[in-house]
Amino acid sequence: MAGKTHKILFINVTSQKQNNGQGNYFCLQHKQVDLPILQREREREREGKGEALASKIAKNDGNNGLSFLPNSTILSSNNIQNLQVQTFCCFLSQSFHFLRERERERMACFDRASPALKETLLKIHSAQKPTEMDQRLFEFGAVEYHIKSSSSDPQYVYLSISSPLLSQEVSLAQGISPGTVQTIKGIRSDMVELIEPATEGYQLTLRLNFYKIPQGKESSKIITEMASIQAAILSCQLKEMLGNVASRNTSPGMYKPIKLVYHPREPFFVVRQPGKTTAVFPMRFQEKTDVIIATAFFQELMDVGSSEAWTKVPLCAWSPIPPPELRGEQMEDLSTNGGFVSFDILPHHVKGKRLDKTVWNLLNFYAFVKYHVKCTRGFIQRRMRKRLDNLVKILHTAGSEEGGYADDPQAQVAGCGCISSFISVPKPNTGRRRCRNFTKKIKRLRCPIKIRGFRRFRRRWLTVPKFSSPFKYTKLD
Amino acid sequence: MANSLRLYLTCIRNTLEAAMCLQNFPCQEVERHNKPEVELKTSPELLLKPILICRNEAEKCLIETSINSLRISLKVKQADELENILTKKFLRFLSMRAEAFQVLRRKPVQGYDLSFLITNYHCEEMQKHKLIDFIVQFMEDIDKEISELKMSVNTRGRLVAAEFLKQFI
Repeated sequence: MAGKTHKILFINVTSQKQNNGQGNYFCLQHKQVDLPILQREREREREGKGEALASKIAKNDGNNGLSFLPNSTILSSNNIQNLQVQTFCCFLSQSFHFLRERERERMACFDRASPALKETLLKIHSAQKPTEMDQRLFEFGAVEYHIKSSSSDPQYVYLSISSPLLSQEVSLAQGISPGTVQTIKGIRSDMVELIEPATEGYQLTLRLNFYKIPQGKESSKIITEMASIQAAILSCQLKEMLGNVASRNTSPGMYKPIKLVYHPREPFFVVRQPGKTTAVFPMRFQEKTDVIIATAFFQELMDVGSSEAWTKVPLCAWSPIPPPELRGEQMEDLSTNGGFVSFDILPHHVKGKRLDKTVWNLLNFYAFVKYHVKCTRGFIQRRMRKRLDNLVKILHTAGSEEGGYADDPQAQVAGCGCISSFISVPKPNTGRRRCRNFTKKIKRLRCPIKIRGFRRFRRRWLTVPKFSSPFKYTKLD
Repeated sequence: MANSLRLYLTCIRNTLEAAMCLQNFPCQEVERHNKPEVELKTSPELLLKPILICRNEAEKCLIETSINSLRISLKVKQADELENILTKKFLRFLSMRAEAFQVLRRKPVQGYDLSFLITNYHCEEMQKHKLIDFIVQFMEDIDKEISELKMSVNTRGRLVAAEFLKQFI
C-alpha cells in the first residue's frame, strides 16, 4: 500500500438562513482530502493544537460545490421537504456515482490514443526477444492500422494508417494536406519517420525507431503519443477548417456547408460564416428511449451553455428541425429523429491551445452523447432493480408476519434473490404436514409384547381422524 | 405527500377494505375447477359492479370484484415524453418479474398500465390489511419513483452537459 495516495471524500452539508426568512438553505459541498493529511490533522485535533477538522475542511477554498438540483447548488429547506429524504439521498448517491464514473469515462472513451494500437506497440517494445509481427487492427470510424515488425530488423517497426478523410468535398483531391504531414513530422521527430510513398492501400506509413525509446515510464508516454497519430490527423483536418475562422477570409462560396464524415452513419456539417463557424450535428438514434434521454440532455446543454457562467464556451443550440444553414442539403442528411445540435465557434474558441480542445470535443460529440445515453439507461435499470427489491420486501413482510412460515427451514428453498424468498409453503399445507408427522409418530409406537386386542384398541383410540376441508371437494366412494 | 394524492390513496384503501371479502368458490361451469371469477366473468351473479376511482384524467384506478377474486388496474400519470418512457420501462420491468409479487398480473387490463389479481388464496396466505397496505404503498412508490427518476435523468444530463462544456475551456 506504500506509495499510494488515499483520498477520502467529504460531504459537507451546511444550513444557512435565507435572507427573506422563509427557511434555511442546505449547501452541499464535497472535498477530497489525502489520507496522510487527514491523519496528521486528526492527531493535531486530538492534541488540541489545531481547530476542528470539519470546520477546516469546510473553510478550504478548494471545495467544489455540486449541483444537485437543476437550478442551483443550494437546496432550500422547502425543497427538501417536498423532495423527501429519500430523494435527497438519491441525489447524493447519484453524484458520488457520477464523480466515480467521470474519470473512468474520460480515460476509456475519449482517449486520443488508440488502445489496441498502444497495447500492441507496448507488447513489441517490452518483448525480451525480437518478435515477428504482421498485424492489422480495425477501429471505430473505419480506421485501419497495419503494424509490421521483423525479427531480422528489430530496430524498426512499420506502422501504416488508413483513415477516411473527414470531408470528401475538400480533401479528396489533395489527399493528406501538407499541414497534417507537418504535424505528424512534429510528433517525436527523432523516433518517428514518415516513409514515402506509403504502403499500398494506406495513406500514411511511419517507421518507428524502437531503439530510441527509453525504458521505464517514459516509454509508455512516448508510445501513447505514437498511438494517437490518428487523432492528430483528424484534428488537423478540422483545425484547418476552423483555422479559417480566425483569418476571416470570406468569399462568396464560403457559406456552403461542408459535410464531415467521422463515422459513416454519423456525418456532421461545418458552415463557415463571416466571423464564426457553425458545426451542426444531425442526431440519430435507434430507439425512442434514446431519443428522449438525448433530447433531455440537449435541453440541459442549451440551458447550461446559455447561463452566465459559461460565456466562454461555444454557444449551443438544439432544434427539432434543420437549421437554415443546412438549406439545400440532401434529404437523407436532414432526416433525423433526435433533431439538430449546433455549436457556434467564434475566433476566440480556436485561438492557440483552445483550438485543439475545440476540435477534439466536436469530433467526439457523437460519442459523448451516445455514452451518456447508454450510461443513463444503465442508471435507470439499476434504480428499477433497487426499487423492485424494496417493493418485494414489503410484500414479503405482509406474507411472513401472519403465516410464520419464514422460520420454517423446510420452507426456505434454495434460490437466488428475491424470488426464492417467495417460494414458501402456505399455512394450510404446513398444518397438514405437522398433523401427518404426528400420526406417523403414533404409528411408530409399537409394543414389544403382543397384547390381544391392542391393535383394535390402537386403531380405535390412537388413530388421528382425517380432516377434510369444508371448502374442498371430497372424493365419493 | 400531496393532498390530492393522499385523498386518492385513502379512497382506494377504503374501497379495497370493503371489496376484499373473498371466499373460496369453485367454478360453476367446470367441475373440480377453481378459477378467479373476475377474470372469467361467466356468472354475472358472482360479480360486483366495478368501481373506478379517478384522481384526474391521466391517473385512475379500476377495482373489479367477484366472489373469489379481486382485480385492481392502475393508470399512472405520464405528463411528458420522459415520464412516459420511464413509466413504460418501469412497469414493463415489474410486469416481467410478476412472479416475485404473486399478486401482480403479467399483462395489464386494456387501457391501464398495471393490474393486480388477488384471489381468496392470497387473502388466506397474507393478512388482508397487509395486502391493502402493499397495494397502496406500491402505488405511492411508483409515483415517487417515476418523479425521482425523471429528476435524476435531468440532473444527470445537466452534470454531463457541464462536464462537456468544461472541456472547451
